[in-house]
Amino acid sequence: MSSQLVQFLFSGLTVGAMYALAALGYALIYNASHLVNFAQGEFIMLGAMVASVMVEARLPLPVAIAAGIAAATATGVLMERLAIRPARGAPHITLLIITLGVALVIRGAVQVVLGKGNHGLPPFSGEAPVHFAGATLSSQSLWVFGVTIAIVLLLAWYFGRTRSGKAMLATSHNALAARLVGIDTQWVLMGSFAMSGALGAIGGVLVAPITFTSYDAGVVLGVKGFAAAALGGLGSGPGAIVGGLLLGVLEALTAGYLSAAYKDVVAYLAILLVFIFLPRGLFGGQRTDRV
Amino acid sequence: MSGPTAVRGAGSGSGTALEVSGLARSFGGVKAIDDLSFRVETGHVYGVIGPNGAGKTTLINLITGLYRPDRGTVRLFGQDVTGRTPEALARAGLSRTFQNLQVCMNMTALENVMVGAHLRLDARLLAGMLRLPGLRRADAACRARAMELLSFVGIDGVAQHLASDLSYGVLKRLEIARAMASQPRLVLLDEPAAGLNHTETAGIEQLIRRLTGEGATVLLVEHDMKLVMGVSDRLLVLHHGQHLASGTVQAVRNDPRVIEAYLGAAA
Amino acid sequence: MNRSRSRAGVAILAAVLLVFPLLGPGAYAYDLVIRISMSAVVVIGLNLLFGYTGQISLGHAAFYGLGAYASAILTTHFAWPALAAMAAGAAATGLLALAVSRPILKLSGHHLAMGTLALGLIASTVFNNETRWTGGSDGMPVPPLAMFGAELAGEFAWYVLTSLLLLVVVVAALNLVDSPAGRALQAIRGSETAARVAGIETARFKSRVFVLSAVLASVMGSLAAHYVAFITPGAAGLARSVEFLMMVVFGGMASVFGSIVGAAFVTLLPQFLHAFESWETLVLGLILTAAMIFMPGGIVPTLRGALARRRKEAAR
Repeated sequence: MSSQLVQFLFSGLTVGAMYALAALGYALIYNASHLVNFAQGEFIMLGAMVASVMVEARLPLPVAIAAGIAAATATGVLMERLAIRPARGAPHITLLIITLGVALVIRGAVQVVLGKGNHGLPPFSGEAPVHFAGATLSSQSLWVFGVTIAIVLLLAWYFGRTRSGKAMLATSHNALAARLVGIDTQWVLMGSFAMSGALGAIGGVLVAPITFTSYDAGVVLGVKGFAAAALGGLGSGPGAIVGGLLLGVLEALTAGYLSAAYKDVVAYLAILLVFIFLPRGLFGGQRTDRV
Repeated sequence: MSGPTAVRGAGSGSGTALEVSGLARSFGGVKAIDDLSFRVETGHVYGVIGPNGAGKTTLINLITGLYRPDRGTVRLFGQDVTGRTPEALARAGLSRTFQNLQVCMNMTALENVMVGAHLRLDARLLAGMLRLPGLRRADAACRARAMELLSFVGIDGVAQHLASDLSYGVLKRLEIARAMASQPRLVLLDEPAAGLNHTETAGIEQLIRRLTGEGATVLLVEHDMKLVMGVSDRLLVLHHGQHLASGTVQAVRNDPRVIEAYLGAAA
Repeated sequence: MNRSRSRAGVAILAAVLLVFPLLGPGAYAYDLVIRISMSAVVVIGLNLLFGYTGQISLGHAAFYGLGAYASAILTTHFAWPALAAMAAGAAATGLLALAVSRPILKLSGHHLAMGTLALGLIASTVFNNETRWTGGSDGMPVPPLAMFGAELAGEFAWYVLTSLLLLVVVVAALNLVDSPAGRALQAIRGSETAARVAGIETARFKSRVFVLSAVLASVMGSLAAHYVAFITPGAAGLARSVEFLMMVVFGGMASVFGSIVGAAFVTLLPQFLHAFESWETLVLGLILTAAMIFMPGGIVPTLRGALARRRKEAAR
C-alpha cells in the first residue's frame, strides 16, 4: 500500500471517529424519541469552542476539556427540559424545527459571547509525529482512536450491563412497554440528550487540535454526523461507528484523489443515495407501518 | 335513481361484487391470511367476523390495496384488481372506512367529504389556480352534494367545523360520508361501531341499511355481534387468517365449529 | 378560508400596495417592500409544499440560487437576453426538482428534511467552487433586467413589477387552495392513506407541488439577482433556506396571507436589530424555538384562532 494511501486512510479514520461519535449521539436521541436532533453538530462545536477559549484563558488543558464536555452536556439537558419537553406530543415536524431553532440559539449564543474567530486546541501530547507504515500520523490521531475505542467499550458496557443502560435500550424498542414496566421515559430522553451532548463535545475536543473550529462549524459537522448515522442505519450503535469511519475514509480519499474542494459533497451525496437506495442503512432493520 | 348517494351501476341486479380466491399474505413467519376464498353478491351486506388477530383488518388492507397479497386473486365486479394500488381501486369503484380513523384533521368536515369525491372533479393544479368557470360550477355542485351526504349521516350541523374539533362518534360517521362521496359500488367498513355506544351503534346499523338501499354493496368487518348479525345478508368467519365458516347468519350461528372457536364466548 | 374572506384579503393587499407609493417612501423603504414581496412569493410556494401538503424542504434556497446563477451566468458570460435566461433557469430548476422529487418525496419527515438539506448543501458547494462561472465565494455582478428592449431601472419600476407579481401569485394560490387540487394537497398532509383511498395519486401531487414551488423560487431568484445586481453563494445557502422556512413558520403554515406576514417579519427583524447585528442568529433562533413551542400553527393562524375565541366569548 502506498504511504500516501495509508496517510489518507489514517486521516480519514481520525475525522471518521468524530463522525462516529456524532452519529452515536444522533442514534441515542433517535432511539429514545424517533427525533432527529438538528443541534447535534452544535454540541460538537460547543465542546471544542469552550475548551479552546478556556485554554486561551490559560487554564490547564484537562480542565478546559472537562469544561467543554460539561458545557455541551448541560446544553443537552437544558435543550430537553426547555425546548423538547414543553412541546411533547407535537407532530414530529414541529419538534424537528424546534431542534433547528435550538441549533440557531446555540450558534447565535456562541457568536455573541465568543465572536466569529477561529479557535483551536493544542495537541494533547505534543507536536511530535508518529511514523507508521511509511505514513506520518499526528499523535493526536492516536488520541482520537484511543478515546473513541474507550468510549465505544464504555457504551457497550453501559447498555449491556447497567440498569439505566438497559432501560434506555428498552425504551428504544418500545416506549410504551417501557413506561408500563415503570421506566421513566422522560429521564431516558433527558439522559439521551445529555449523553449526545457529551459524545459530540468529546468528538469536537478530540479533533480540534487537527482542524480549527468556529461558531458556524456546527452546521457541516452536524450534517456529516447525520450522514454517518444514516449510512450505518439510523438508531444503530454499530452502524453509527461503521458509518462514521466509512464516511471519514471516503471523504479523505475523495479529497486526496479527486478534489479537495468537493470533499464535503461525499457526505451530502451519501445522505441522498442512502435514503433513495438503502433507506435503512447498512445495519438498520425492517419496519412495516400498520394502518 | 338520482341523489347524492346514488351508486353507479345500480339496478344491475344480482351478480358478484367481490370475489376473493386463494388469498394469502404473511408477515415474517406469521400467516395473517391463509388460502382465503369467498364471494360477495351485489347489493348484499357481507359481514366478516372473527376473534382479534384473525386477520380481519389485514383482509381489508389486502382488498383495498394497502398490502399486496403473496398469492391469490381479487376480482371486483368481474375485473381482476389483484395487487392494484388504493388509488386505482378507488377508480374501480371501491371505498372504505378505517378502524383507527384516517380523517384529515387539518380540514373541515365538509372538506373531508369533498376529498372523498376527488375522482369526480378536475384536480389539475393549473385548473385550480385559474379557477375556470367549469371547475367552479363542478366544485359548487360537489359542495352541495357533500352537504347532503353530511345530513345523510346526520352530522350536517358541524359541516364547517375543523375535524380536529369533532368527537369520535361524529368522525366515524364522517368517514362513512366520505366513503360514499365517490359514489362507490363497494364500500368496506372497518369496525364502524368500534368505540361507539348503543345508540350510536344503532345509528350505524341504520346507515348501513340506507347504503344498500341506495344500491351499494357493503363488506362489514365488525366485532359487535348484535350489529353484524342484525344487518348482514351473509357472514364469513375468519380464524387464524383462514376460512372457518360462511353462509347465512342462521347457518353460521349454529355451525358447531364457529360456536366452539368463537361464539361461545361472545354475545 | 372562504371565498369572501379571500376576496377581502386580496382587496386589502391591493389597496395597501396602491397606497404605499403615495406615502412618499424613500428608496430604503421601497427596497424593503420589494424584497419582502419577492420573498413572499417564494414563501407562498414553499407554503404550498410545506404548510398545505406537509412536505418539509430545508434546501429551497438551492432552487432560488439556481435561478439567480442561471440568470447571472447566461446574461454575463453568454449575453443571453434576461427573460430567456430566467426561463432557462426556471426550466433547469424544474427538471432538477422533477428528477429528485420522486425518490426524495417517497421519504417522510426527517428523511425528507435531511434529504432536501443535503441537496441544498450540494448546490451551495457547487456555487462556491465553480469560481470560473460563478465568481466563487466573492460572487459575481448581474446586469440589469432588460425586458422587450427597455431596462428596468429605479425603485418604482421594480416596485410595480414585484407588487403585480405578488398579487397574481396570491390570487392563484388562493384559488388553488379552494379547488379539488388544493384539497388533495391538504388531504395528503392530513392523512396520506385516506387520500390514496379516495383516489388521490399522492406521489404525483407531491411531485407537482414540489416542482411548482421550486420553479417559483427559481424565477424569484432570477429577479432578485437582477434587482440587487449582484449574486453570492450565500443566496443559495443553508441560512437562506432556513430563513425561508422561518417565514413559513412565523407567518402561518397553510396560510397564503400568513406567508406575506412571515416574509415581512423575517425581513424586517434584522432592521430592528441593526445595532446588534451579531445577535441576529441568536434572536431568530429564540423566536423560532419559542414560536414552534407555543404557536406551532404560525403567527397568523394562532392570532386568528385567538380572535375567533375572543369573539365567541363576547357573543355570550
